[in-house]
Amino acid sequence: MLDSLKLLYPEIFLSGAAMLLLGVEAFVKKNLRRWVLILGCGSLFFAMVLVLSLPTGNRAFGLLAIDNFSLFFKFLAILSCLLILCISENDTELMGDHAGAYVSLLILSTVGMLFLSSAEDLLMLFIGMELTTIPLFILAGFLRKELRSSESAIKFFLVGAFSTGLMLYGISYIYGLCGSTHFRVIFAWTQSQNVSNNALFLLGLFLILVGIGFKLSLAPFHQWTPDTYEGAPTPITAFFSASREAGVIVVALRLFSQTVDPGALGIQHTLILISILTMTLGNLIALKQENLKRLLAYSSIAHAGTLFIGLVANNSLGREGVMIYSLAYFLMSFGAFAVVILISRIKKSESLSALRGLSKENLGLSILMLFFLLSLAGIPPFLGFLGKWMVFASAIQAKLYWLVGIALLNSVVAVYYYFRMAHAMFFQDPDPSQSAIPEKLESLSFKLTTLFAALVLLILGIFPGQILSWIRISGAPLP
Amino acid sequence: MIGLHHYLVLSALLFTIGIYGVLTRRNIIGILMSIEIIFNATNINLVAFNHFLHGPGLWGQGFAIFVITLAAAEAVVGLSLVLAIYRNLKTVYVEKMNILKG
Repeated sequence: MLDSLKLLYPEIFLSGAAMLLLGVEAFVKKNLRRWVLILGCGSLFFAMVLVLSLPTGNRAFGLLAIDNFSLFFKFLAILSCLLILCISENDTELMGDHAGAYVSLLILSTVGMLFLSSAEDLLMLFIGMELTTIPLFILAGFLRKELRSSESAIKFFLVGAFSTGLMLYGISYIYGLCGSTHFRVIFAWTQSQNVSNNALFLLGLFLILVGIGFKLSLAPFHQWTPDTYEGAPTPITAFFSASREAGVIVVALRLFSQTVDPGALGIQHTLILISILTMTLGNLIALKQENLKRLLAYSSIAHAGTLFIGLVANNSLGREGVMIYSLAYFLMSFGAFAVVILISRIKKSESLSALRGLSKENLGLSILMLFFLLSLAGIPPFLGFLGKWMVFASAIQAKLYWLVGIALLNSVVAVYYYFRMAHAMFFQDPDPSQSAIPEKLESLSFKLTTLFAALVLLILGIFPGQILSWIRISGAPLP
Repeated sequence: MIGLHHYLVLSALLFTIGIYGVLTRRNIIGILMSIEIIFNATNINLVAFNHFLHGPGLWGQGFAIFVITLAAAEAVVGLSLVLAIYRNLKTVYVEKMNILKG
């Protein structure tokens, strides 16, 4: 009991910090923005230390696996929360009167991701997913006075709650058949039966996959994503993509590698189809988007489809690829969103035209954005390329050649809209009706976090040896 | 004699009603209620399976308690979001929520 609790120190500590921040929000009348920020960042840093000091190879309460695999994603979740907190520092709307509530909701959502990353039981999967998404519902609608924010939140909420309901109904059937919701027990049960003919099991599994599909915004369950991404406050939009990749993908990976082998169940073709559909739809619709946030939303759908290849391949290389890819995807989408936040705050516009002539106004910023765009497009030497390459390699290892072919074609399509943004930045003149980006940027936290993201992407992309050896250790989940 | 099948049929009916409601209601409150019905269909399943097949352990019933708790939390957030959008839009019909599209 006590040993299990010791494995949950990061979660317990962060929940405590979130409650403290909420208490500050409720009972202290003065505006303590700076203190809230310091408290939030400090507790996240401390939680990072706690995560790194966890002993691996253990299970907490038999429900949560603490292995290198989950530690990697726990670290990623806390890092994402920290970076998002830093870039929303100067946001007077988010970090205004309700700074305490904002920070505590961000941290609570991160706690949900921590649970998800080690969930080894459908109960923990459900609780972790709810703990991640319920704060996100509120955060998406955080700007209460703005119709866009409320609308995005309500759309996100309806889809999120509905998909949770579907997933739960599937879980109830799996429980009824297996007598347990633990991944290993379910796996043992599937070994003892001829599950590919068991309609009830397949129905349960299908409903769980639909739930995960909604959360990962895989096609055909992706329609909510662009609306929610566009309407939500931009730092939250950046956090969405982090939580989706880091939180949901882990649990899907664990489910696939420990419980249901798609190949053995005969559902691999369906998964391949979903992956192709997601990539193609995301990329094709992104081609004609004019709103930057919407464009990045569709690009994130396409990236989710590419990530899903690693899951479909379901081998250890695929797992490693997904880990690298989600790290890279988080950093590059974070960077791109951070630049969009800065530009839209100055130019009061989120459309593609706001990027026009950025290189003439502030060369450094445009080069930074170019870094992120190149990485998103999967061009070497950035980390985005390495992730994509490993995911494709895993599919080749699993002999899914035509899936790789279509994914490569998709990458080519994706290059077009990323370069459209780059073209606007470097080869067009600024829109004179919009205020110009100053040469010198005020915000220190913006510079620090984006430079950090860009440097990590570049350095790990050029010298991947160290991170690959770490990932190789963590790629294998607990037996 | 009421057996497992009766409960399963009841829960399947509730689930179908819930899905039908989510897909056809235009009022957000109606959609919320339909989602709650889906959650309750799950609870009936969990408790019935626990009672008839997987006793005397209480895993399914415990699971149902978690579902009830989290459904309540979700309903709280959902209703407050409905309130927020009602203040902005003066309506709770989903077809009016169309400024984000494309």
